[in-house]
Amino acid sequence: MGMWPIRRRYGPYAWSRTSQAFYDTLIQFVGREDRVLEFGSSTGHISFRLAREGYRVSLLDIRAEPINEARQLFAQAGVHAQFFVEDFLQHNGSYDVLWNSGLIQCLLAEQRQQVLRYAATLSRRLLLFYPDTDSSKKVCGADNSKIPGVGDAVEYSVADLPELFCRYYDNVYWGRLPAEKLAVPFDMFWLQGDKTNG
Amino acid sequence: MAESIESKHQEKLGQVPPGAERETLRLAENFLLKCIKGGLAHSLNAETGEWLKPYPEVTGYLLSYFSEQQPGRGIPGAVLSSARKLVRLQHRSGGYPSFYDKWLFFTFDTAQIMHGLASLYLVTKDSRLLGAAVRAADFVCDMQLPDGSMFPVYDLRREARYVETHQNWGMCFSPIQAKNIEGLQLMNRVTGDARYARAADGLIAFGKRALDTTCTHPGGYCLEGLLAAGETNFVRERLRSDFLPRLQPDGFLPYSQGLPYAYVSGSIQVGILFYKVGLVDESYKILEWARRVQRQHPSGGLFQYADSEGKLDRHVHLEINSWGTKYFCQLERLWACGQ
Repeated sequence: MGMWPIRRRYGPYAWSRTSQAFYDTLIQFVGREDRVLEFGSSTGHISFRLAREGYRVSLLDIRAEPINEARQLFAQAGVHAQFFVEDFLQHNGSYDVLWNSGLIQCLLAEQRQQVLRYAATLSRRLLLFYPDTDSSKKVCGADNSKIPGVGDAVEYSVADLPELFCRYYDNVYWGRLPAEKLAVPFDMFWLQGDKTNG
Repeated sequence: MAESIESKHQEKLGQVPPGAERETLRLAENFLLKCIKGGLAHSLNAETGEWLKPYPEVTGYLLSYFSEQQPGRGIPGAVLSSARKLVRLQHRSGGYPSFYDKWLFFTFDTAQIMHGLASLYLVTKDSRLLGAAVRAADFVCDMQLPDGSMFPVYDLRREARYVETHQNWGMCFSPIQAKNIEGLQLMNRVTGDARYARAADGLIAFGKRALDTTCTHPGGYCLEGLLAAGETNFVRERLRSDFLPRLQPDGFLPYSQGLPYAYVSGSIQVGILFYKVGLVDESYKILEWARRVQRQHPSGGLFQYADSEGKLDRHVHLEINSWGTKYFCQLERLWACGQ
């Protein structure tokens, strides 16, 4: 998986090539003064690095356990952030950037639209990372009992996601992170949408 | 319909002095060769005589034109040097930039260059041209979405496809991409790769769904692709309903409804489409108007924007361009020899 611990620089979290690629993509779209929300964050290792570097970071997850763990790890490292244990679709707030990795492909088409629609009310910019679900090398999760985005929760094809983004955003970027760069069996994608006005 | 076009040919050709078409064609083709500077086609400022906007995309059109129209006469040296230039300009991704930003690679531009390279390969059998065309074709296919539409731009700085969803026809999921059908079908014939045919099929469905005939030039691009795909009835009906009512008796076809000027290339594109679907009287009217445009300037090229009398229109800029002149050559050739 190409993951290695780099505690000295990034604190208590493990850091992988995928983490680095996501981070490199994120900082293209995040300004120093931006309010950044990672939803479905789990313990938020990339958000930890952003917060440590001075970004204004919030973490949100529907599960209390990873958020409590993150709260503790951030506090131990003296890193400031805001934490929410909440369903994203119930969250109120205003942000410059929302982002998530690994959730969107676990949602049914109607749920994907719901998340995008709601995200557009919280922020003018949304960035998502997700696997190439149509790759023959991607073994999609199949466990219906898992919370979307967790473990091997069931995953669906999201080939139409760029088109869906275009319904909500004025400018859309769609990038590919090649498998060989990430040292994983399949490519990952990222999608960034932003609204020019309002 | 073939009989009808033939009889109209006789009727129209009888109205002009013998050889007149050929002189207009000779002048226009001279312009096309003169506009190539440093391997790229340029536009000409009609008043200052300055050559500007070196454009990879429109250079690709010249490769296609001279390859398709003059196979027996040999390819002019300027065109061959353009092909070498285009091979050198290509990014390793297969994409091509436009003339104003080296970091943005345009799907549409790349597809037109791809067509030019493949067309010239068929004449010269130069494998470097085919290699570049294949890279371009792969780039174009990678820009397509499942609904058949295509991202218009690849942003090298962000290593990402890019679209402005509410922008004009250049930067959105634009129906002009249907013109890429021509090049993709050609690449399928040349290489036998079914991926290119599938991409073209996706564009047919998208083009029919997304066609916008508000403006002649982009509308013409989309219809050209659909006509190449064999959608003749669809194209004829849309020409009849959307463009025919706007055509004035003197052959002037405004860029869009109510404008006092034409985008000359767009008008001639529609003239070619009229011809190909059998609306030959209307096609000839546009040809006569285009000849009036050509007579306005000694270069032999046609203004990008002209009024109903064929005079330079100053609303946008004062340029003579190669792509409108190339379409003029094609329309002249259609009327001269039906090809």
